Amino acid sequence: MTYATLSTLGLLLVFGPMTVLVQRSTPPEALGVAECADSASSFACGFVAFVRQVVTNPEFAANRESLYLARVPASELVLVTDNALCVRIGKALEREFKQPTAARIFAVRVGAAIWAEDSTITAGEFGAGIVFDSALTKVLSRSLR
Amino acid sequence: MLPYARPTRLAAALILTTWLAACHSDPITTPWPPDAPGYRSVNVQDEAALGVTASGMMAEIGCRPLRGTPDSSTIALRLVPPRVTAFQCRGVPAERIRAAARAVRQLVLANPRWASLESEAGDGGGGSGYYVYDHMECIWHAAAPPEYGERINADGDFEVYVLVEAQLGRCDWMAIFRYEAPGGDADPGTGTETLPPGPTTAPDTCRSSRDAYLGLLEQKWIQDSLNAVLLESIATDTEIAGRILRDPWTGRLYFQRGMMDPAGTDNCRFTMLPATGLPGEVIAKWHTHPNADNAIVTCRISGKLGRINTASNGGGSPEDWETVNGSGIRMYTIDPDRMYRLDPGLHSSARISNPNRWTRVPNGCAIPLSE
Repeated sequence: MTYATLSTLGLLLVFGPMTVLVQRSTPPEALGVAECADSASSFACGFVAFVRQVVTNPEFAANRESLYLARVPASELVLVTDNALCVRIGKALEREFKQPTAARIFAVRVGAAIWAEDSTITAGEFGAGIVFDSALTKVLSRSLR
Repeated sequence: MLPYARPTRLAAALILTTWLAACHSDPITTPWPPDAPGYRSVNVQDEAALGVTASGMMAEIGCRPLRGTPDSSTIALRLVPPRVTAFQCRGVPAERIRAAARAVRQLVLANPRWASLESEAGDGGGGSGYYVYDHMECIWHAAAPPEYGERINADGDFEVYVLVEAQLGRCDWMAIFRYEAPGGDADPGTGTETLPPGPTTAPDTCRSSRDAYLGLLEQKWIQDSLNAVLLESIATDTEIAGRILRDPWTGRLYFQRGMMDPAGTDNCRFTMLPATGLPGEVIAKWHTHPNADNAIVTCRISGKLGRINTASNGGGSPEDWETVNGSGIRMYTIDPDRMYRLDPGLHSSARISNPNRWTRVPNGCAIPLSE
């Protein structure tokens, strides 16, 4: 093994992992990959609280009905954490909003429906969301909050 | 005195009578407040603010800014030259239109700067000064607009008008007249005109609204100002924003309308341009949401469609809350149903239970919803 070969090997040993690190630090959105948002994030907390308010608070019964949402106990309204489902939701959001989604998908199951948002998709100052059927093929309603 | 022909006077009187009859001259059920408390802060506003204030006052009686071709319900108010703002007042009694127009005019006269722009003293031929102003009226059922005539204005004064410009519209003619009223009609710059006797039922304060932040919403003129701006916001389906300022030396409050960037402002968002030379510190900001909850809206800029739901978000969009948290400055929002105060520091999951919300009461005091 020549010195040059050893040097190359050494460089690979030193910089190889860094290359991998650099590749891994590429934002997922650039790759078009969606995954479920961290349920502890501020946006997720706000979104889940918002969904609970609309679904469970009698004051907003009219809003719930107009969004075609069933009345569901608050305890069942939690953020979707199944990444495979979030990928599908991300694609459905892309399809409906006609723009790429970010990496983080915020979605809550409400009975047979799925209410989803992408924190980067807005309509003016409002957060734009969509209520899908469970198969993610049909849009039940669209929300602005 | 300007010469005029008797047949033309008769024609003008006939037209005026027709116009008044078409607008149903009902008595005013709600007299105008004695000193227009909602518009007290106008002296710090610019010309654009006069537009919004006048529009708000007209909107309160059901007149909306004209869109498209004028019709027989169109009236016009001359604001700061060369601006003439036209309104459509379908079904609004003529008496109410006259009262509102008079209030707008009073507002203009109360401001020396506007008054000087609005009026010019002239010689009416009889030795006394004439107050000259333009007025646009929609004339119909006439083959041609009258060239000159006379009328009794809302103040009960005799006025002479001459035709300045006329154009064919959906109504037979849209005519801009120049009125020359005797000097007693107005005294530009002094604001000496008196308004009709004020109501005894409209309170000057809104203590019942109970706003813990400096009692801002407990001052009716602030609520009136918000309501007035909201009405224009609804009429134009566009968000409007501004500031509430406080002079640190005198404690005086000012309600200011911000200058909006039209490229970044629509029915779902606003972009307020920076301001300089403000007469105090910004103690709060405000903006309108022209659509109530549950309204289905297509945002003009983004093209996105959705059903509005701000109440369950605490009265503000996520972006509103971020703005408040980022600046530390409270934000009032108003929509057709409610008013809210967004305080900084509220966790996102707590926004839904934002206690600072009120049921909006047009022409009255908002009712706290936290009780």
